[in-house]
Amino acid sequence: MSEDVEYTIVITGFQEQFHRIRNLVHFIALQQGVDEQEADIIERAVAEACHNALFHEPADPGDPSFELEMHLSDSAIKSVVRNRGAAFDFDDVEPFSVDQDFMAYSEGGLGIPMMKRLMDEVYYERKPEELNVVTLIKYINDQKKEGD
Amino acid sequence: MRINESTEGDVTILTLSGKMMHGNESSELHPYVKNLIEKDRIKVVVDMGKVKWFSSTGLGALLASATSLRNAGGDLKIARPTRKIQSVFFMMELTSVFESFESVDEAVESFQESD
Repeated sequence: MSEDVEYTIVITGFQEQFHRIRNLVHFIALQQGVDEQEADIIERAVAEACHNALFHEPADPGDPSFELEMHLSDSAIKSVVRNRGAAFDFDDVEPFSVDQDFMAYSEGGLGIPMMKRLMDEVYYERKPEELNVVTLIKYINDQKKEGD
Repeated sequence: MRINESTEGDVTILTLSGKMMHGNESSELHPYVKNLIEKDRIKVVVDMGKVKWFSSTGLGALLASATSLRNAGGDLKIARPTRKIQSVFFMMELTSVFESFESVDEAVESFQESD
């Protein structure tokens, strides 16, 4: 990564604000210099992580929430989504392929493969007290991962 | 999400509106399509021009619906996908899975051309 200034934004999200948070992520991505299509991609991947936080067995089903933290630099947009709830089956999920049987997705299950497909790097950590942490990284301005 | 149904000859047009995501009835699409198949309505155009947002749940419902229709000898075509929907199809390499058209009429005509 190049040497650059990093800004961090933290948002607490609820279901009612979901569309506003999506729009904000899109706007922030555009401000970082990506084009509309790339902003769409970042918005969608982050939305999937937030969606999982809200709907995948949250610790408080009556009032599910998540925290979205965005780290912005000239080389990458890193989004971290935290929520309390059931663990995600992150690492065992098969990568998405157009050759697979799509019937498997008739009732969901496409969110994690979609995040992995859309972003450059995706990590999941399960922490104490039912805390899920999903980190999504998109490199921008033609920055590549180290080693590429 | 709402589903409005209309017909043009042997083609069924499903106009979706609202948000296709968990908790917004997007899971109703696949059962709806399976019901059409039982009535031998196997040519379906899904008009997405009024879809405000669709999540992976909505995409999964579309994929399963297309698979069911193709297994029955029919097909599902997309009309009026928004830019955000097109971005997802492109990034997920689904442009070969979902034939998309700028208008409902073009999507309906494409079925007639393939007969």
